[in-house]
Amino acid sequence: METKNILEVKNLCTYFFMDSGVVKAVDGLDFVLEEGSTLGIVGESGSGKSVTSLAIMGLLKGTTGKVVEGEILFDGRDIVPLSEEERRRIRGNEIAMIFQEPMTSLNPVIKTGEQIMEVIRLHQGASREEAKERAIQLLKDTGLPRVESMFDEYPFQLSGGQRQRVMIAMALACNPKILIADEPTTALDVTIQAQILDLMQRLKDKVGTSIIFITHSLGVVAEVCDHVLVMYCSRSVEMGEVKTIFKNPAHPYTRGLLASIPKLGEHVEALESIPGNVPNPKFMPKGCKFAPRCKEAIEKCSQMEPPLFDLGGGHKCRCWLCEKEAADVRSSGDGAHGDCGDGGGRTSAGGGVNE
Amino acid sequence: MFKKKKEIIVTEEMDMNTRFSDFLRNFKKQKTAVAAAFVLLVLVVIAVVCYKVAPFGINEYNYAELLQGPSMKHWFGTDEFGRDIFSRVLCGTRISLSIGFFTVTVASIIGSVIGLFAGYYGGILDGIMMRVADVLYAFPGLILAIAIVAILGPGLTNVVIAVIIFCIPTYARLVRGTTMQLKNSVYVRAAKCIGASDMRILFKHILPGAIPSIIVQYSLSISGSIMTTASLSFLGMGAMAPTPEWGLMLSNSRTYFYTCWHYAFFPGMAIVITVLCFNLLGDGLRMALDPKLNDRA
Repeated sequence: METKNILEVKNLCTYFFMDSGVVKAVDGLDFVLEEGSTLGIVGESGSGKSVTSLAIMGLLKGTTGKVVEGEILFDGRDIVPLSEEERRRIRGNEIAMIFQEPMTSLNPVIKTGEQIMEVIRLHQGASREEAKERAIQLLKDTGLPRVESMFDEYPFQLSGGQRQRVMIAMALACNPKILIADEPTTALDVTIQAQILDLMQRLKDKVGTSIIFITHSLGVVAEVCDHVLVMYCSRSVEMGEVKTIFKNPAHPYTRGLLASIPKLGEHVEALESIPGNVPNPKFMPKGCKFAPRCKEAIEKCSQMEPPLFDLGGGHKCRCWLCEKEAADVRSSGDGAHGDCGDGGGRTSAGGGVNE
Repeated sequence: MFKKKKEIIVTEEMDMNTRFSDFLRNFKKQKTAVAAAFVLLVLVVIAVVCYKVAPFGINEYNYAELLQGPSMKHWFGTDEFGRDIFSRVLCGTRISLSIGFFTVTVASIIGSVIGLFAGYYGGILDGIMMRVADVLYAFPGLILAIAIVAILGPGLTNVVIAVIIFCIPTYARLVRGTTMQLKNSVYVRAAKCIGASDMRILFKHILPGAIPSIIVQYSLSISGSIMTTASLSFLGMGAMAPTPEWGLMLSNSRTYFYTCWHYAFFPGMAIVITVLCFNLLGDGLRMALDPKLNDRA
């Protein structure tokens, strides 16, 4: 079953050039987003998730950050070298974005309806009346009550959940091919979170967008995503289908993350945690960046950084423990029998620990 | 009962719907500012109708009644040529107000645009503009205006140019500050995300955020502008005789200061009242537009 890749990120390197030195916010990131699917990007703060989304949007201009290497193929076309003018036509129209803080992402001095109409008019050249009609329809689609009166209200008169719905309506106004959601539910309370996730799923199916979902929360990933990309220290450490990752996490970091989720009905004194902190980007450890915090680290880990091993079925992991497993997958042909390879591979990874 | 509750909600919504009504409500609480606004309104009306209602012509010489004190015929007395000071003060309103409004309007537009660009793009453009503003700031306003008029030559037109030039940095700074603050806000980033162009972001998303401070500064600058115009005329660098300009009238009255109090008093009062009212209005606007200064907003 061939699915088209709507977005391919190849060897993306985004560095920030500061007075105090170069910070490699994203360093050699590869991933693909299949059409109509949802990709979750998970990682701690500072792991490069948000910078990745800004690079895709082309919003690094005016900061000290720059895409120094790599390609971002949108619909088969590299959008990194495009001019500002061309990028602008893509932004909002083909790739849209929702931010973490619904409280501050609407302009406080412009009426809510006006802001949605702006997107429509910018990209579709619609008249005021057409834009208004469409905007009202969009707001209704998000399940907001009393849309007509809200249309002429200012953002401060709306609640956080309502604003996030408005943001979603704005983002989906031009039926974008990709929607980047940067922790869209973090600032909302739990019941509203569920509603917003639900809404995004529903609208995704309706509009046919692919979603990149950036989040801290693995629970959210399990709920909405098809694929996951786990980032640690500006690099991907593991990626694959949600089912695979949750069932057979290969990377110790992913396992640590999963172990630190509180489980319903279980009574524990303290939650699992990953010891230590994310290393300072200016003093990256040699070798595997997770090695200093890793319980399963072997000698090799602190000497050489592991490549991204292919474990079959799209499951990739950047860990030396997977080396043998990856070799098995390779020798057994290709990733076509990935599902079978996974089960067996797990044990061989375990064997790696004993070595 | 249920019905009644619903009604209350509806009226509340309608009340909250306009920011302008909020502003008006806050402004009405500033009693002095309202009074000042009223006086200014009267002054504007006077400026419009002055030539029609003035009892005498501004250059109606009457050598039979030189330097007379206030009387029923000449309310503010007469000057050294027997001209009616009341009529001249009345007609001076038009000159002062129109120069005040014109200079500040032009300066605020130019200054705001400079501030927007400097604040948004930063870099060399910002550096150059702000250093120029610093230099302009380093001069006391009046000295700067004198220097400009000295270069351009005396006359009201050149005074207008001088006042515009020295008002610009204030607006450039003010708007630059707001722009730098707002350009990093999430909603400006969100606007970029929907594909808005720089110009659109500057004028539609950032400028409205700066408008309240511009309005306050507008009112305060007008008083400064009127003062400077009068001062330059007083120093003989602005309006030329026989223009009925308040500063010029004050200047002419100096010779008769010890004998005819009314000659200096009325044009002087006209300046004081106008300037005071603009200042009071500015303060009131600031209180009404900035909810942080207004504890019951």
